Parts: sequence; structure tokens; C-alpha cells
Amino acid sequence: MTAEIGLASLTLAFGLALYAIVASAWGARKGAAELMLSGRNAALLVFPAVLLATGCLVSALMTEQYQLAYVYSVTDPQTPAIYRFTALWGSQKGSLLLWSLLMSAFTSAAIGLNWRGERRLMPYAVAFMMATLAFFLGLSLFVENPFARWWILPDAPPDEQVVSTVLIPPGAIAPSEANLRAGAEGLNPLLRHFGMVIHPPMLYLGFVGFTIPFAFAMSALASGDLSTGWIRATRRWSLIAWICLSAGLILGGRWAYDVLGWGGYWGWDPVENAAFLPWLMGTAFIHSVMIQEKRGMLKLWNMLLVIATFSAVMFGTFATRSGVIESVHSFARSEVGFPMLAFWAAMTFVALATLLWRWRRGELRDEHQFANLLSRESLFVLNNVVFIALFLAIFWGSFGLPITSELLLGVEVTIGAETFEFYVVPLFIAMYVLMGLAPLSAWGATSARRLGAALKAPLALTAMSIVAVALSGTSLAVATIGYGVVLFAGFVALFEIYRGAKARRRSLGEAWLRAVGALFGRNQRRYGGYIVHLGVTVIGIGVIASTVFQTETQHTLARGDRINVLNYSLRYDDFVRAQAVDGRMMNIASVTLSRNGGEIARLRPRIDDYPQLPMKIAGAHSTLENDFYVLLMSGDIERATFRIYVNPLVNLVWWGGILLVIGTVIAAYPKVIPSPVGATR
Amino acid sequence: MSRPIGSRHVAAGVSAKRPYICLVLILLVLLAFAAISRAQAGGVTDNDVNRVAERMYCPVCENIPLDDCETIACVEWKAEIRAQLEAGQSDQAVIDSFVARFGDNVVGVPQDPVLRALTVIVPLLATALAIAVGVFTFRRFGARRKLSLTGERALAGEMSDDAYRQRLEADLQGRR
Repeated sequence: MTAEIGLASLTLAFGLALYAIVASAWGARKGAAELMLSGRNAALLVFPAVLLATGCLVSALMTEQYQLAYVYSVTDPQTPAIYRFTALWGSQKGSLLLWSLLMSAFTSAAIGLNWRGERRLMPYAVAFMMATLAFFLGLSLFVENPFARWWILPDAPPDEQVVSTVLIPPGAIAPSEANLRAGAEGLNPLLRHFGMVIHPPMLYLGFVGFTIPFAFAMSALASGDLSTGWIRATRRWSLIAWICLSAGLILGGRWAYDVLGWGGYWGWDPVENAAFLPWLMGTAFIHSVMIQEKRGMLKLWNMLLVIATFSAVMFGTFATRSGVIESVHSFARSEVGFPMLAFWAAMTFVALATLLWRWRRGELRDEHQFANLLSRESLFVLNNVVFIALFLAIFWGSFGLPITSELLLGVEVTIGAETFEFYVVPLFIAMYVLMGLAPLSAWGATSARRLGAALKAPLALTAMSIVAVALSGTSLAVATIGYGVVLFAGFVALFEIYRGAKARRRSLGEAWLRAVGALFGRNQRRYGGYIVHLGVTVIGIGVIASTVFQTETQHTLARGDRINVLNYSLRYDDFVRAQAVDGRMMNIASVTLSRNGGEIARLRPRIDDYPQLPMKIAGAHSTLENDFYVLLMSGDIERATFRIYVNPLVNLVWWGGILLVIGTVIAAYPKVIPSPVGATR
Repeated sequence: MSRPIGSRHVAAGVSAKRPYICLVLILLVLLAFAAISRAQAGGVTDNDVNRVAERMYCPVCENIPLDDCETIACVEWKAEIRAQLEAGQSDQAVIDSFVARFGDNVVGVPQDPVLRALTVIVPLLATALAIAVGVFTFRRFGARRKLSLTGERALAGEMSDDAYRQRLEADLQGRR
């Protein structure tokens, strides 16, 4: 019964979304208020319908209804309750439904919050949001239905007797419950990790979140209301999407570090890059959009950026799920490739054609001009140039070259980390330099003299830091320069906060803490942005240290033997084979870690022995200074082979990520406007 | 019996060189012993194999570096890398032998000159294109900037802390 309710809800949601598209677009075109309202109401009903469908699938997962092919493929009787729930996004069918659920929630929230304020834009915005949602609901309904069930066709040929279908085939009988339980496949081992509880939903939130600004931008183009209304309506949505995407990327890195067992967190894998590309475009957009808000400039450019961000989201989704580039994430491959490619191409074409039409009519003219090269808007444009260059370079390495090479030359190529690092490192250096310069320049115009004066303190701090780094024994000039560039951006952010607080202290006599609090309270966006810059600085330091100064070695030890790595000493103590509660067998080595003669930790690196894929789970000892990260490669009670990594300052990558999220939350948090004294409701 | 003077000289010379000859012989013996020990112990270490393997990619799983992959194919490839290193091949020679047999996708940088050039040139062109877009934007606006420059020039002067605070406050007021 659960499956029937789920299927009916999904069908209803799809129908409502289609109706909302037609009613909203037609109502807006004809100026029919009732039709627009009807479209809005239909759009608002999609969320409860998808929620019910998702609830049915979750219920089926939790209550072990293995006749549902999806439940059978992602769980088994040993799966713990938490992973039964996360199995919702454990494979293609469930994750598409989750995508639709999140998209419908965002859409309902956007309609609820913006309907009154943006009446002119909303009907078209609803139509575009529902078009995207209807596409994904259609995929769930017609291509990847999570409510399909197993059936046995006794009269069919032997290899066609077992089928999974949504509707009951004639003459079909249900398989026995015992057989289904015995054969259930269980969750992909890679997904049995806490990081996977949060990482995919965060990424999806980021992806669907950028659909909202896109829909409003398209609405502005369709309606002809090309004022900053669409930006005002979507500024917070853009930031929310950006936080989620950033958090999703960082959590993905942490998951890779813990689960994939290679001592790193970013491998320039095409699927990682597919999520990083929208982030680059989105970052360019949230900077560039400030210029339009402040100066009424870059209207065409911002439209292009928001379209490109949405297009990158759709392309990333297509690339991840279509199997066009295979990778560790290829568990999500299926037959959705062509429909997704068609939808991506169609939406991008429609968006660009509409933009071109408005541009040719002269409706995207800017209100101000660039005053000089050192103005903040000019530096923001340069920052956009860097992000676009990064986007194009990474896109080419991840998809452009491999696909072109295979299609045109018949040669399969792999583009590895060393290739990416060759061209992204200079661009990241440029990004950090601009991140330092832009906050010090003013909107409109800045003289070189004034900018030079503002640079004195951050540059002095940077110089002192470089000297300190050099004195600490860092002999690699590349790393020292890298630290300097990254720290410069961070010092500028700190200096700007200091300068603002100092100005308030001087004129208002406020205490330091109060002055800083007031700055953040009254201009959340600017000072939240500085916290984000600090987060990016901290991440940069972590990335440089853990990449350039990583130590890696592999040794086989007899029981009781030691190996010395830097100032650590690792002793192999014991080896056991045990069974976990979810049924998997584990080979666990016990090792003792010492430093300067004193024991500091006992670690238990292990190999989880899944039939499909053995997984090496590291034992790690984390400190502020570094991570001692040890993997069990193979072994028995007598001898074991270990691969050891010492990753300096790697934890700064995660802490910087937390700082980045905090800064964005500050920037996006709704401003509390105090009521006038004596005002009554 | 007396030795001829000439032969004494020769004998004295041989005698003088004897320590050096012994030293060379001892060194040769030691080197041979070291070589035998190294061969017996399989002198190529896991780190040597990983150093080569981390520059290569799994033939089965897309985009997984060889040193991190534990599929049967990868285990066999690593054993072959070890064998080739033990046979005295250089790192690059080992990689070249795999590329020759299995194609460009076993390494992270294409070996084919055309593909290698495309790998590098296109990102550079992309960067140049992005810079060109930026330059175009500035030039487009630069041509018209005289219209609005006069009013904005006032902002360009030096600013004291007070002036900075005033602008900050004005900025904040504008956001209320």
C-alpha cells in the first residue's frame, strides 16, 4: 500500500507542477490574476505531494519492504536504522526524489516569502521553477521510478522471469519475502559513513538553491522588469545556495579523507569538479551582483553569470548521473543521461536566447560607468575574470578534453591532479591577491595613493609572516610565497574589521567588542564577507601545507616492529578479524603511536571486507600541527603492511570551511530592523 | 741469487700499489655482495613502487590513481612495476612501457603530443579569453567614463580615519 500511495503522490506532484507552469505563464501573459493565483496554489501543493511520496519511500526503507526494487538494492536486513534512512539518497532513484523534495521546499519558501513583494516577477518565476521541478519529477515517474516492485512471470523465458515494474504485469506473482530478504544487496559501502549522511543533501541544497536566482532572472527577462528587483528577491537565496554548496564540497572532502583511503581530500576527480564548477560560477555571481546593487552596472554580465551557474548545475548533474565520465561516484549512473542532456541544452538555449533578445532591445544598459581600474567594481570584474578562467580550465580538463579526445580521436585520456595543478595554481594566486586588494578599494573610484596607503599595514603583516615562515625552516620558496599571498588576503580582512571598529571607537567611544559587534550588526553582508575571506585564507594555508609538505611512506612490519616517520614512531601490536553489527567482516590492526619516546595514541586502521569493494579506513591522530594518518594495506597476525601519511595543518581545511559557513550565515542572516519608538501594531 | 735491478723496481712498484688493489678488490666484493643482497631481498621498496604508481591510473576504475587502487588489475600492475624496477628500468621507462601497451589513459598527463598540447594550450586560451572579456568590459566603459568621472573624483582623495568613518556610516545609513 505504501508504494501505491507514494506513486499516486508522485503522479499528483507531477500533474500539479505541469498545471502550475501553464497557469502561471498564461496568467502572466494575459494579466489574469485568478489564473496566476491558481498557478501559485498548485505550485505550493507540489511540496506536500512530494513530501508524502518521499515519506512513503522512507517508510518502505525503514520497514524493510524488499519487494520495492529500490529498497532491495540499497538495504539489507543488517543495515542499521541510520543507514536505512540515508539509503534514500543511496542510489539514483532515491536521490532524484530527494532532489525534487528539496527543490519543491525551496520553491514553496521562495513563493511564500516573495509573492507579495515581487508580484510582477513571481508568476514567471513560478513557471521557471516548476519547469525544472517537473523535469525531475518526470524523471522519477517515467525513467527512474523508486516505487517499482519485483515480480515473477512464471510463463516467461527463464532469463526474463524476474522483472521490476511500476504496474503489475499480467499473470505476475510476487517473490517470496524470504528470498527477497536473503538476496537484498545492501548499501554501497562508500556511503556507510557519517559524511554521507550530510554531504549529498548539502550538495543537492546548493544545486537546487541556485535554481531560485535563475528562475527570478529568467522571470525578469520574460516580464521585462529588469530593475534590481530580481536581485533583491534572490540575494539571500543565492547566499543560502552558496553556503550549502560550499558545505557540501567541504563535507565531500572530509568524506574522501576518511573513507577513500588515499591520504588526501581533493583528487580533481571529474565528479568532484562537477560540483566545484557551479561553485566557481556562483562565487563570481555573488560578488558581481553587488556591483549591480551598488552601482547599477553589469546587468548583462550578472544575467549571464546566473544562467551559467544554473547551466553548470544541470551539466554537473548530467555528468554525475549519466556515466559520461566514470569515476568513484559512478554508482549513480543510469539511463537518465539523454533526457538530462536535452533538458540542460534546452534550458541554456532558452535562457541565452531570451537574454540576447533583451540585450538587443537595449534593455540591459548600465546606469554607471567604470571610473578607474582600481575601483572596487573594477577589481570585482577582475575577480570574475579569474573565476571564469578557473571555470573554463577545470571544465576543459574534466570534460572538454576527455570527451573531445574520445569522440574525435578515439583516444581515452585521464587528466590527473598534476595537470590541473599546473594551470589552477596561478589562477588561485591571482584570486587571493584580488581578494586582498578589492576590500581596500572604494566603490566608484580609488586613487593609487589611497590604495597604497591602505595596503601598508596588511603588507607589513604579510612581510613579517613570510620572514617568520622562512625562519621556521620552510625552505621551499614556492610554499613561502604561497603562504604570503594567502595570508595577505586574510590580513586585509582582519585589518578592515579593525579599521571599522577603530573608527567607531574614535567617534562613538565604544569598547572594542561592542564596536566590532556593531559593525557586524549594521553591515552583516560586508563583515560576514570578511569572515568568509578569513575562512578561505585558513583553507588556503591548510591546502598549501598538506599538499606541499605531505610525508608518505609504506612499510611492512612484523608484530612488535617499529617504523620511524619524522619524529613519530609506530609499533605494530596486533591483528584481529571481526564482524561488525551490519554483517561486514573487518581486518583490524592495532598500532601504538609514540612521539619523542612517549606513547601518544593507539590507532586501529582497518580494512572493511565488503564483497564488492574492500575499503581501507584510516586510523588517524589529529593535532593542531598535523594528522598522523595510517592505512592498513594488507596483513595477518605476524606481518602487516602500512601506508603512513603525515599531513601538516590539514585540519585547517575543515576549520576554514566552518569559518566560511559562519561568515556566510552572518552575511545572509535576515537583518532585524528595530521598530520605531512608540510604534504599535 | 740476486734479482735484476729492473725487476726489483717493478716488484717495489707492485708492492706499493698492493694496498690500492686490495682496496679496489674489497670494494668490488662489497658491491657485488650488496647487489646480491639487494636482489635477494627484492631491493625495490613499496615506496619505489608507489612513486611510479602514483603517476599512473587504474585501468578499471576511472580516475583512481594506481597506488590507491586495490583491484586485481591494479595489484598485478604494481607487481609488474616492481619487476621492471628490479630489472633496472627507470621510473619513466616503466611508465612509457605501460603507455605503449595500454594507451594514454594510464597516466594523468596525455603522452600524445597533440593531446598534451591541447591539455595546456586550451586552459591558457581560456584564461586569455577571460582576460579579453575583462579588458573589453573596461574599454567599453572607459570610452564613456568621462561623462561620470567629474562627480566621482571627489572620492579619490586621501581619507583620514574620520573621513573613513563618515563614509562607513553613510554606507550603513544607506542600507537601513
